[in-house]
Amino acid sequence: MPPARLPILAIAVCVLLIVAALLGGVLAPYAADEADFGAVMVPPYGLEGGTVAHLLGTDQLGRDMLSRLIAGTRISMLTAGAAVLVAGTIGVLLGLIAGYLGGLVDAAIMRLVDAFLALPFILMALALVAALGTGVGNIILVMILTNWARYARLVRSEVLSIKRRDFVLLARVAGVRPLTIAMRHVLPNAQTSILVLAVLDVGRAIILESSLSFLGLGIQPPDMSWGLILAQGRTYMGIAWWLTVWPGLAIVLAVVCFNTVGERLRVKFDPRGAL
Amino acid sequence: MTQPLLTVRDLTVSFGPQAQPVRAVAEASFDLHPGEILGIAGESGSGKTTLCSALIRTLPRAARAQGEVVFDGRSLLDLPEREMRGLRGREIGMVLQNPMTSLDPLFTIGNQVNEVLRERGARDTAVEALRRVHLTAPELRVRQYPHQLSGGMRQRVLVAMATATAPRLLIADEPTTALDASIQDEILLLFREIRDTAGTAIIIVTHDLAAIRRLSDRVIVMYAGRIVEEGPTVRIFHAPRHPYTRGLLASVPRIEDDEVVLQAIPGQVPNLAELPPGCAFADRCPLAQDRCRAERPGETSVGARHRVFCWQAEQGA
Amino acid sequence: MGSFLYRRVGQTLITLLLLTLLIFILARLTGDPTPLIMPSEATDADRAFFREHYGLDRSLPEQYFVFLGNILQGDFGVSFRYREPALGLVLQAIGPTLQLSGLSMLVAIAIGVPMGIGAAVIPESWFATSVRFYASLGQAMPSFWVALMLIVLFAITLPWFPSSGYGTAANFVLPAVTLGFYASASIALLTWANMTEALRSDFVQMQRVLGIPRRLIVLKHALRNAALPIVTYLGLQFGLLLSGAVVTERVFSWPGIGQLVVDAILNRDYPLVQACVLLTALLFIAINLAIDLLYAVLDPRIRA
Repeated sequence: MPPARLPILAIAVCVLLIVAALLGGVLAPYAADEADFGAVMVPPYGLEGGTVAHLLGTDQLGRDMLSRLIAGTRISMLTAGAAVLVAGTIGVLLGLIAGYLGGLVDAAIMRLVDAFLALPFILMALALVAALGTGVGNIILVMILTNWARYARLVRSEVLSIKRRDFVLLARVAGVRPLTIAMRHVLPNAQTSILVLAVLDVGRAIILESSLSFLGLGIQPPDMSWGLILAQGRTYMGIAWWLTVWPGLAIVLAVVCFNTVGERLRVKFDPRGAL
Repeated sequence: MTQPLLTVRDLTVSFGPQAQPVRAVAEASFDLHPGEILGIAGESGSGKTTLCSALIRTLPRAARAQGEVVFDGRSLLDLPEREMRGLRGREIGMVLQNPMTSLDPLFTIGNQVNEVLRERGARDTAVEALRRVHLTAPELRVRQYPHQLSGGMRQRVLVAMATATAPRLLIADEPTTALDASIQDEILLLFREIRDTAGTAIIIVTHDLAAIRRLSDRVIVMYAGRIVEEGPTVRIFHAPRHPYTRGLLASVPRIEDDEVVLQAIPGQVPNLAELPPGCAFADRCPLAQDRCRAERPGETSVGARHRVFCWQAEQGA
Repeated sequence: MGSFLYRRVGQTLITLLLLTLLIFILARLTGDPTPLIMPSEATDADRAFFREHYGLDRSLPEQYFVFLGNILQGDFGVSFRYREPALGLVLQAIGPTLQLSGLSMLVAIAIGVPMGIGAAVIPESWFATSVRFYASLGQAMPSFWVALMLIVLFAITLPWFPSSGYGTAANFVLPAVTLGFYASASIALLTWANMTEALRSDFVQMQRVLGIPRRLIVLKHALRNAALPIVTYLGLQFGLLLSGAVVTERVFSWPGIGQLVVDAILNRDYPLVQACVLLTALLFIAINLAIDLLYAVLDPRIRA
């Protein structure tokens, strides 16, 4: 394994994506849903018929691809980020409770974790979508429900291993409240593994959201996400490749960068272990 | 005296950057004659295992070996890897430190022994090879897996594999360390028998001085990558000349008047990356003088085939 | 071995039970299916009859036990859309899905395992770097996009393979490559890690000093030892393949479970969704159980 250098490029792309998600429309040259029937299916700049005005070309309604991608970044990153943050928090809390209380509570939580992890994740997401419906809010909910279980499992095992260490035993004997012990001793010890899992999860969440949107079961128009843009461009795949290639590349780039950062963090903090 | 089987001259094994190398073995020179048993003693980190790996050329990639190793007229350090592989196992056998993990857990004993025999074109069967090392019930063992055998039994299997075609040199790295005391003697006897019946020269590397005393004809004592004393076993144990050898002998627990006496050498093994310019043992040595710290001692002959690297060897006698 | 087996099966059963509860709760969350099913001109009496017929008028716990009892008898309900038992529809679709995932698994092993072995044998080489690059792309490319790109390249630009459909050998190529590529990435990384560890083990050192040829050490001993964790992982990998299959089947109009479940969701055909999810879960769990048992056969230390 090569030594863990800082993946500057990957970090830069991640930051750029987050900024693009926060600023959104400010960066885009056009409004994402602005149709222009005078400039339909303009190829990307550099190809015959392409223009600087539409660097990445336009779609069947003359909407600027670059602006659409930036708008898509917003929803794709928002769903992924929200899913990871909320799922992480819920999972961490349940994991702490299970690990600390043990016994029946632990057994109940862990069997629930097993049940959630018993299904391949897209299938679980589909079952949830079928029940909850589509749209941004529901998709975020679906992603939270499919993701929390892994955090719970991770944190519980950390708690179990830390619980037996002397300083925690001492704190317990000294009558420190369990919640205080959890906050002061367990979380700081587990935070690197949680962080690594969370960063790697961003990539997973982006793929999940785009898959659902591609299937027509995720984000619905007029909202926009990379997967949805791709699905809409699919019909014109044979004549206008840029409608599917750009959003696909955006997904790949984002996932590669978040995974690279996550992998490097993992190697740095825990060179031998696997998550 | 016969022609030596193995001649080692100024063997140095270094790691790390060219400019500031760390020498795990430095300027080691010795001879080994056919049928001779040579013990190499030293604490862990003294370079004895690295020395063995250098002889058989299985050092990690990062290591560089310099100097001269001549085995039966062939210069081992210059031999192409293909020819070296032909020598390994066939003419130079080796038994590694840990018998518990040195067999593949997923294949039967018979399968692994046969693999070695087939590789050598040996006519023996696995059962015969195992019988020769006095493994009990060899017909049963060949069908068993390593986890079903005790440590001593596994060591016998490994010895059988290493000596399948009567190599002329056998290198044993800590062959008894991982075994129960009662089994250790049996394995040592086995080595002696191999020497007596096949005329194999043996290098036994260990920190267990009792094992060396029982088995070897000659002893080399290493400290911080360097040979500090070499001589016939009787002389090393009865008239050691190097202060380190004496310290080592005194640190073996022994029973005097029903009490266990153990006299450890004070201080710590030095860091190989920060060796002093003089004698590496000077900081722990009861006899050290200014000269010892400033200047590295050369070789002093103190008797027949008995040499020592120490400025104080004369007075220490 | 015996107690290990019982515990493993017991846990699996509890997990399955909880999963049925979860699916049941989700089904109730979708709300009353009556207005969806009954034509708008239906009378209140018709609706009441419908509710009674499907047991929708009873209490929730009661409904759950009826649901569970039905499942145990192999009754997964009737598809609203096709007016056929859902079980039959799922069983029809499961064949094509298994064929596709099975073939993809073979493709993934055929690509991933040699890559992992090579990278472990010669780390810090251009080959190892390429494997790392390949794996990170493989994990980052969503399978639907890979599928579309393959269609553009090998069905439209170069019309070598059909872009959709099922039945002939040519139909298998693009879907199997799509899924195989996706799965090969993680198999390559896993093989790499486990081979590296196996090559560092004491017995490999011993075999080296015994003069056993490198080829034999790598391909017989190290690989066999590295294979144990890889085999365990293949079970999980199969779950990933099923996930990938859902999307890939959709792109290639493959008549498998993925296609069926997505259609069912789009048509709000909840009994069919339930049947698809539960039966896939059963399949996934059964495969993982089988792999645990296979592990025991491969490792003599557990077998004894």
